[in-house]
Amino acid sequence: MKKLMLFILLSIAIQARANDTSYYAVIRNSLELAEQEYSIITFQNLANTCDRIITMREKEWLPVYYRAYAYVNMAYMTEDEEEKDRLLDNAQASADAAYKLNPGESENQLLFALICYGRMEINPMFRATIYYPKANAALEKAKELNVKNPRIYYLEGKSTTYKPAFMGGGPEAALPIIEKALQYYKEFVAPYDIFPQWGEESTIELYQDCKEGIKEN
Amino acid sequence: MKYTLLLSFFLTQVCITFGQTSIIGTIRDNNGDPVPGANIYFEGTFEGCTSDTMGKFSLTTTIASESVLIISFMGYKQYRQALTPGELPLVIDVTMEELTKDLGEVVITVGTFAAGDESKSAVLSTLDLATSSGSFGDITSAISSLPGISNPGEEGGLMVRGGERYETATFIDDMLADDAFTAKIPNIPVRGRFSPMLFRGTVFSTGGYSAEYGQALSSVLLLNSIAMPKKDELSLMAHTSGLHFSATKKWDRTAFSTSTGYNNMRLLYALVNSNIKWQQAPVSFSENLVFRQKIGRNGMLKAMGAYGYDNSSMYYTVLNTGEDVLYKMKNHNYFLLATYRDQIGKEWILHSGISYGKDDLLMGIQDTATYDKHKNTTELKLSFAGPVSKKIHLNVGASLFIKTLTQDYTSLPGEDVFTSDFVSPIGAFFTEAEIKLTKRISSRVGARYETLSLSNEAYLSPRLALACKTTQYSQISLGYGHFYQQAQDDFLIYNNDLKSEKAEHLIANFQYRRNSRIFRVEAYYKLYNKLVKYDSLYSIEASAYNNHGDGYARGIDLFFRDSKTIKNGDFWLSYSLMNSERDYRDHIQAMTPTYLSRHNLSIAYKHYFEVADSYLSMGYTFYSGRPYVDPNISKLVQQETEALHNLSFSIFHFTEIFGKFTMLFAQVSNVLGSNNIYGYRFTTTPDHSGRYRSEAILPVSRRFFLVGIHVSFTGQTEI
Repeated sequence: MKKLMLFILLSIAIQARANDTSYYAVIRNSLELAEQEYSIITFQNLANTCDRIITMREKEWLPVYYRAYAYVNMAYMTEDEEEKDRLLDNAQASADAAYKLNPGESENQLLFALICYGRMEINPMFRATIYYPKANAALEKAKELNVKNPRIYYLEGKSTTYKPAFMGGGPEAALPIIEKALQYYKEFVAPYDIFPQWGEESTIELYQDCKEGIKEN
Repeated sequence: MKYTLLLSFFLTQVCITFGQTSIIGTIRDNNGDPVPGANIYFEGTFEGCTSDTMGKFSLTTTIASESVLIISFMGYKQYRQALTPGELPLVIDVTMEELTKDLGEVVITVGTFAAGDESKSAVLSTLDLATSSGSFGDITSAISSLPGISNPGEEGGLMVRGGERYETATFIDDMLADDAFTAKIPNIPVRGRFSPMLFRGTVFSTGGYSAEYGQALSSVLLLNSIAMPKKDELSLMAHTSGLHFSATKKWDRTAFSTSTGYNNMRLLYALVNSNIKWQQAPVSFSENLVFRQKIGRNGMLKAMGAYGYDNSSMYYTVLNTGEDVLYKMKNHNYFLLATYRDQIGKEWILHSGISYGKDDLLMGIQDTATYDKHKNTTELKLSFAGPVSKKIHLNVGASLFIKTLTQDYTSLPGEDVFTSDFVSPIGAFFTEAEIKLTKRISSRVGARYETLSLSNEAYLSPRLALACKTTQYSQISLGYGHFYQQAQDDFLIYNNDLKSEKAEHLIANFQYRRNSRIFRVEAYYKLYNKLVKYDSLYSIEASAYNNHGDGYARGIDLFFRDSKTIKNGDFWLSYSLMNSERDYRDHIQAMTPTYLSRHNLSIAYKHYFEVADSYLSMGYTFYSGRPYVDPNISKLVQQETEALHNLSFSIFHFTEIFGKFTMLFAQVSNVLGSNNIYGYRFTTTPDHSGRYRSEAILPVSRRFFLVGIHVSFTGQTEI
């Protein structure tokens, strides 16, 4: 029995070195839990899972990416501003690390944008001037890296929807961007099953909200 | 309990059946409260779980060999326990030891108000500086609603904690801007020369400031110009008293901007009654050119050229004769500044700068005196900042500031010209270390050495500050320092030997900051020495001047700001209690300066109306009566004016005109029409009935207003 376990463990380790997808299952589990229930605990669990993987596979991009993603989501769910900033600091550290490991990946830029939106929300009066342009710059950079990444247009569409009309925002202005997002979500093929795929459902909701918003006007 | 045992037994059975082991338990902290979110796993595996909101966890594992169970969570000491298969305890309850809470970075805040958007310790935003009610776009007006600042309507500028206007020095990119304010003429407040839009990240110190800065008895205003604009910009602003144009072009590593302004107060004074008899209402022109160039990986060159022109003339009543004399002022001001900043090695920063300023001022009193002043200033500065160890951050540098001043004075037209001049180089060296003493305590220890050849002086000023985090949200700080400032040009020009004036500051501060609410209280004591005194009868004789003046100022400042409680609303309150006496200038004894009110209150509320795309800003200021001497009552006992009130409104409406981002704005001061009297002037000799006749010192006009439009041709203007 013991020997068998050892063998299994060893083979997992060897396999991991070969193509390093060994941890995919663990991340997949945690992602599924987080999808079922959008809560701080489920995302802390995702972050914890990533932490465990990172200590063993420090060169891998995906766990670092998801760690940042988890902390961003936790920040979004937190009310207390100091706590929110602390969670975003955590997310930023991982997003920076993810960028270093895989600078050509557009998803990193979307993390940067998400972090900026989170920071901005804490105190728009102070922070909008600094983080809004930063978020936009990140989205532009993402387009340079992968113009067909649907999540870029989801975020852009969302920020345009809630921007005042005199600044070139509003549902009408946002609609074509959101349509573009939907189009690219359809075309998007994930290179592997746990590659970042968030945002599609929210985009559909946003699309409906936008249409209603236009009707009201 | 029985149930748990039974359950455990059952689980054991299950685990054995499947060759897996389950570990269940609860994680609590020292207080017995559950710790949710903890990471529970065996060392060297991916498998693990997270404790739930009740601190409970259930870990299923296939591990069979001896392993270390780890439980970790941020802010707690990691829990480790070696377990061997077969004897795995099924239920483990863990108490995690809380680490000393990381209270966050200790920032020394004593005597400091940061404004800007990048710094987490900022108290004001760039938007505040631009939209403060009644600010009329003057950077200093917004700042003057902070506690500790007197805002006498006839003076303008920043008069900090009992200090005079000249005691506040302005630095642009850490270089001294000697003429940051327009020239002063009687009863007309000065204005800041530089637009708030040129800067990001302003720091205003009300005392106890860093050794990097000198030549300011009371306070420093540190303006940090925008490093790299974010995009191209073209905008035009027109309002009831002027026109402004600005344009920015940005390339990859280079940027250039220009801004031109023209102000003419004639229209305004045609519409509102002015208490001043203008011959020529103030006209001013300003041009700012800004150049930015990134050099190498981290280098940044900033260059700025500013030109300002002011012209006004007014009739001023000489009380003794009852005659109106024409008072003329014409001023050309130039300021050139270049700074270069780069990284040396991994962590050190080099900062160097050169500046040149030229100020030509012509002041004339019709048929009598004319003053023709020409001033040149040059500054060279070099500093290095970086860590010497993990806990010590050092800033060292040196600067040379040379001022030359020539004044041609003519007492009557056709009379001889009386020329006075001086050249004054000031050499300075400073060194300062920020030392993290413990996690909670940080200190700043510095010294500044200055040498002045004109007055043959050299002095060393120590600067100390200490900050201690009391909780995650609050801290207390202390500040102490010596501050020297060369005697004012107007005195130095007649007596080159005048020594520097000296102030000592002692400040204690408490600050609480949480969730966009800030509360701070600061108490200070300031001691003045070697203040210039003179005999006003012989004011152009060198012998009329000496350094025998002294004084003190003490008080308490309160500041509260809440931008959380009301959505889209922002409230602030500042109050200061000031108490000061000085025996200086031509005072015959120690007296409270006439610009000082004992109680100063400023309340502001701003609200953004989403539906109307409008931003409303309201402000109310209250100053208790200001002191003056009525020679009809007593030359030694001061009287007090009535209290002063000012309620002001500003409204900004955002819209689109021809597809361009447009802001419409209107500002009005003294909505209630309070009759504010700043003080009284008296004749120097009594009339035949034995009375000294008087005249009230009034605001330039009882009420100001400004209506305007700002159009951005390139999209949203960043404010």
